[in-house]
Amino acid sequence: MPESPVIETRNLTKAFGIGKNKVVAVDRINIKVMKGQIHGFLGPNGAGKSTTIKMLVGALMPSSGEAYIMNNKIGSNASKQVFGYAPERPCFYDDMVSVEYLTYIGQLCGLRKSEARSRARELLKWLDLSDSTERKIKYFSAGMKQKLGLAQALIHEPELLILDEPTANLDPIGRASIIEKIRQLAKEKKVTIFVSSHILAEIEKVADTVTIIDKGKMLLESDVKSLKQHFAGHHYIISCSNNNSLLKILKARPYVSKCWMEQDQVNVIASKEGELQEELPQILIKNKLILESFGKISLSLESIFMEVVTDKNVKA
Amino acid sequence: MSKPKILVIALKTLEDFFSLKTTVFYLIAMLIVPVLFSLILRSQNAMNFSNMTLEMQAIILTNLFLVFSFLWISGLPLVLFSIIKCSGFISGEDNKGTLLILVSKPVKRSEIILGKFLAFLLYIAIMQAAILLVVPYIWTLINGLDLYVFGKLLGAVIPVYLYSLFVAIIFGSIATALSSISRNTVRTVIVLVFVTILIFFGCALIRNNIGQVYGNYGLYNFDINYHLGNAFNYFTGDLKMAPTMQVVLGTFSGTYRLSGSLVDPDQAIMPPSLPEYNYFSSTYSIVLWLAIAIGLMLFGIAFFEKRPIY
Repeated sequence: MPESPVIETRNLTKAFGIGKNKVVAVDRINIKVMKGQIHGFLGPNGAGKSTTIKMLVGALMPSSGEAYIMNNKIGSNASKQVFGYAPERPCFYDDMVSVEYLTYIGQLCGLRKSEARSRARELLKWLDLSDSTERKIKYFSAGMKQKLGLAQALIHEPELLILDEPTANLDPIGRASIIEKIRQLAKEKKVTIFVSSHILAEIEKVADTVTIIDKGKMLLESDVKSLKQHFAGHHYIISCSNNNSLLKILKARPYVSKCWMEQDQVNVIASKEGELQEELPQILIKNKLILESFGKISLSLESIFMEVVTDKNVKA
Repeated sequence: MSKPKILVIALKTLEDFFSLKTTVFYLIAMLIVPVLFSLILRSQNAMNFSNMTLEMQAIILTNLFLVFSFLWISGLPLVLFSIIKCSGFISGEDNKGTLLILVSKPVKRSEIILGKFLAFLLYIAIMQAAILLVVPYIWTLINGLDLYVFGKLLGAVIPVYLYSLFVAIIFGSIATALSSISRNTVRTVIVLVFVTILIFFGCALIRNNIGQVYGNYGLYNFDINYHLGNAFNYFTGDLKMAPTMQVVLGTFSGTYRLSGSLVDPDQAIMPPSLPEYNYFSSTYSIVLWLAIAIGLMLFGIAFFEKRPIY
């Protein structure tokens, strides 16, 4: 029997305002996240990532469509029991000390006070905040607050972690530390992680699957490996004795979907595998061009993202 | 077993209420006027307690205590405190950004509101009990009176205490409901305080100056002070307030008929009790305002259930 998804959305939509002022922030999104995955939820600022996440965690009600977390309808207490959520800019009761705050949140998640307190201490230690256990939150730095946001999400040992831009507003060391913790959680605790970000280089390091959205619409959902294969498999970089001439020739070929000059090299995206390799020697000979280099490139998630967002007809 | 979540929220909110700042402010606000009044009484020797029997001393102080309770201890300061504190229950958390994490936890939104409201009632219950016990003691002490008088004064504490809780429930639930509807705590507080002061003093002004308009147009329906006076009479009715004090209470609440001569022309003294207006029965006033409070609270909860949290 196939495993049911941890997160499943069906035509999930959120619109704000009415009439002329109506803005569709999230437009019929369908996402499936399977158990144990780290799923990157990518999109430029204003794409609808946070709105989607806020619907998943029960802060906003969908305008239409439906979504389930481990088969529990979003917004229900049963769904909230299985996930932990850390917002982009977590806000706390500044006058509380961190261990008290986490104990309070733990109790709200159904833990006994003693249990919540010991779990709070354990998490603060794991997040390198042991020294700040009894410190008021108002004295925490931005990085420490981000870690505390992660700690409150993990207090009841959820099976699913929903993170909204967990590394935004952090310095490189803080970002690396959070990414490392995410990796550990997935690897050691087998937590399913749904993480939104616009810092793609970081997501690339940890994500198994990604969804890309822009202007509320879902552009792509795939696993990172096949996504890279798909795009990189068609992306070539060529250098020859006259790159401008080659660029002109290749642009006219029917199997070339995109062709541009970058750093004195010709970048080609072919719509089919093989045809460029077959025809290129003839083109070079016919036009008396001398080949200097030819290669397939391994695309970063960032370049795939750029390609997908700028050319919305691309399907993985 | 883990604690019910409503209790977890209530205890956290209660802890916030019992912060040094809030509690000291509350005690000062509630005690300053009764203490100053007692000091003035003593310095002016206005009551000449030394020439009175203990029974007389107790009757006079009990009457003063009732009037003070209506106007001050369970009056405007309690109303304003209820409004200011409860108006921030939801909108305050929303403004601070803490509500987003709270609503993502497995807690019903109704539990969040009710937990906070429960904490408010517990705080008022504890603080009012303390203040209503301390004021008679301070009065007895400052005026150098016998503990017998203090004992007699304690007889008025429970009815006034119950009335205090009634006031807290009414204004606390109105402010709590509005806090779940409005996003702006400051605006809610300003509007509620303005409306309350307008009703408190505006209705008294209209009632005392153009009584006919007040009666003919049924303004007593909207005069919360009249309803509060009615409720106060219900709780303290057995204590038999003296007519001179009924005049004071009547001036502010409109529950006693103050028009015409207040002195019996045959005997040249005031009657044992002034006639009441009885636009409504005390029970009606209590039930009406409890119904309004509960209705608003239910509306606030229903609204909060669907309120988007950004």
